[in-house]
Amino acid sequence: MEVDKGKGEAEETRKVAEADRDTVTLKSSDGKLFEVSKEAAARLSTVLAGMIAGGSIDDNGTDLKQIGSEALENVVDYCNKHANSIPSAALISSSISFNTAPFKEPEEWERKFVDRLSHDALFDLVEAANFLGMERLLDVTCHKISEMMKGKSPDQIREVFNIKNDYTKEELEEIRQELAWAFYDD
Amino acid sequence: MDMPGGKRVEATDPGDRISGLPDEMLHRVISFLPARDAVRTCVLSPRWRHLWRLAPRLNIDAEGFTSQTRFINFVNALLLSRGSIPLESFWLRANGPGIFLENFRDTAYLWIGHALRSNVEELGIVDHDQNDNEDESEFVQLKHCPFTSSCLKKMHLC
Repeated sequence: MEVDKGKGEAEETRKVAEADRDTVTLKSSDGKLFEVSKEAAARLSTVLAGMIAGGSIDDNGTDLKQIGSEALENVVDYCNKHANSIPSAALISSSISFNTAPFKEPEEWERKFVDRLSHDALFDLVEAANFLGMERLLDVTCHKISEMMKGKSPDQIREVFNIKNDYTKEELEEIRQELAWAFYDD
Repeated sequence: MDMPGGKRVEATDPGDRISGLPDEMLHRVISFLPARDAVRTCVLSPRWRHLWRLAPRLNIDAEGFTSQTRFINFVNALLLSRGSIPLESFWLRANGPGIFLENFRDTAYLWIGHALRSNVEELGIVDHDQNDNEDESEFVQLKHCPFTSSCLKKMHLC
């Protein structure tokens, strides 16, 4: 196959320029552009880390067709806040063991960050964090969802999350018998 | 959205965002609940029936149990019923009224042994002395502890 040398060189130059930048530009499904710290993106998202290492990020905005602008704005906001919130020593150790480290309770700023989200925005963010392989953001968002369930009866949980109970009465009775040890003191 | 590493779930109500999440995410959500709340998610809908069995973190909390016997029965049944996937963390909080680990030390050691054999990475034990609520109990001081583990990374005793 014939390779256009000039084009190849231009491509090389563009890649070098990209490598020199300390931010990356991400594009949402609806075409909005967001800048995020390259260091934070690579540390917090396994998917973005892979794209940065593989040189597959686009200067004009890397397409993330699966993520809407509101969720992407939250992702970027989270990355940038995270970059500013931890001292560099902690940052070095966390970059080594982030995926396997035991869960740490959300920090105050992380709680506030998820508390201000609407119901739909929270779930959009969970899905975006899952898509981008963002372990810490998944923990923080899933922890928030668990807090919305904690101490509530099944009926109350169904109401909060709009879950339809399509068990039959007989099935429910069977489960309660099978797992009677979990339903004492009701 | 195309979800890596999780099953897509069909036919959930469009307003029901939580049941549409992949199993992996729901295991993570359930992992943060106290163990009894975690098991009880099984009655929400058929989608939720078995999710609790694969939650990788257990928070066993005696709060809310009306007797020590019921608490012990609960934990025994829980450990026998959950799936045999590795445990990331295991927390045992014996802070219910009249519930002290020292009273059933051998059983509690079986639970901890189970957690360690499940390759637990983080182990937490909370207990207080029966006579003085501020002091660590003999149990938490691990005076008779017979365990070793090559997976454990972090231990909390309080």
